[in-house]
Amino acid sequence: MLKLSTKNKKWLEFVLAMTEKEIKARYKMAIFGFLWIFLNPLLQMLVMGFIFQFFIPIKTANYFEFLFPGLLAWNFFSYTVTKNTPMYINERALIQKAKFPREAIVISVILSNLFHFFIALVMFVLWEALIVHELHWWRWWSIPGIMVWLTILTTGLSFILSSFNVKWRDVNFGVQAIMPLWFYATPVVYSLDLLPTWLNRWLYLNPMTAIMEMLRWATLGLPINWISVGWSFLVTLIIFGLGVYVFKKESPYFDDWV
Amino acid sequence: MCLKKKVLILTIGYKIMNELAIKLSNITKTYQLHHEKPTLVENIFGKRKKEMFTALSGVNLEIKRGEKVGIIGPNGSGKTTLLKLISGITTPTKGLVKTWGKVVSLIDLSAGFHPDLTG
Repeated sequence: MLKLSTKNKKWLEFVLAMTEKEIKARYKMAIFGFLWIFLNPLLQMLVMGFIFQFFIPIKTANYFEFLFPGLLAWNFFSYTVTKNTPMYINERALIQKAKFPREAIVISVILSNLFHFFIALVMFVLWEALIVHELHWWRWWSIPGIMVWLTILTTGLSFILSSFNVKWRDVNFGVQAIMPLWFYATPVVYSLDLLPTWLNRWLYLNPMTAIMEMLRWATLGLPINWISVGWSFLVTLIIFGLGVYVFKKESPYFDDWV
Repeated sequence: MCLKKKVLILTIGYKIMNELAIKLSNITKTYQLHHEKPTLVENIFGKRKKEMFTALSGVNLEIKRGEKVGIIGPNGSGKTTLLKLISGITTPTKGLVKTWGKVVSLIDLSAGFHPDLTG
């Protein structure tokens, strides 16, 4: 069993309680409730899959199959970062009145979205296992690892943006403007081999590229350039380190600015 | 040398712990004012100097265990700032806050409520 000190135990309990609140509050008063976890990316995929298969000549047997895992990962990333950026401003009532670990707010949003992402992914895996019987099982097992990477990236970026947004509210507007652009800078609807080779390499500076490529490697068995993935990993580590540093420096003074 | 110092501080800390509940030493808290809407040009070129406001300056306070203390003062004299520093909601610009035991701030009744989850 994992032994935790009282302090860590209390911290974990608090984070989990906040996460539970996030999950419960998300689909409150919605008739379809938790069905939206799957319904939302499904609708998105149908629309995008329908449109983009005419524009982008991707040599894949099933474009929907190509699109769906990447879309789930992208949704997790963009939704979490967009939601987390103004989170300390939205929760100012709590921040001004009580002392609690400030990181719990951001982490609870990440965990609750991770929960949704995980459920949708499991349904996809089940779907694939039932319909497409030819699976690369050993590759499927790498998906949790990809999810951990994606979570580290999302956490780092959430910490940076939410901490800066406390002092400069422009950050929130910037994120809202950049996210749709970032979507097209990430091979979600297209694949990397459609791009010229020189651009191909630079796209790996965007860590989301590696996530997409690895998901496709795991689910569809597409080839992947592991050296470029290494660069993405390096960028991820830098973002995460920077996030923790900025958050540690800024979080004691959140109350002065909210 | 360094270890000896640490041991010394620890023993002093232990002696104080038996009597003291809250100890503030040389607390200073400055806020940066931002009441005026800064214009973009001024912000970018950094020509506007930062307007600072010192809410507390060099405050020393010791509250012993079991003592009841009231803080009185006119508006804007730093009562809330002092309480926020003691409860750990914010951090002093200079100085040290030490508390022994459990510090609970009286929270506004609706602070932790989620609009969708409350009745």
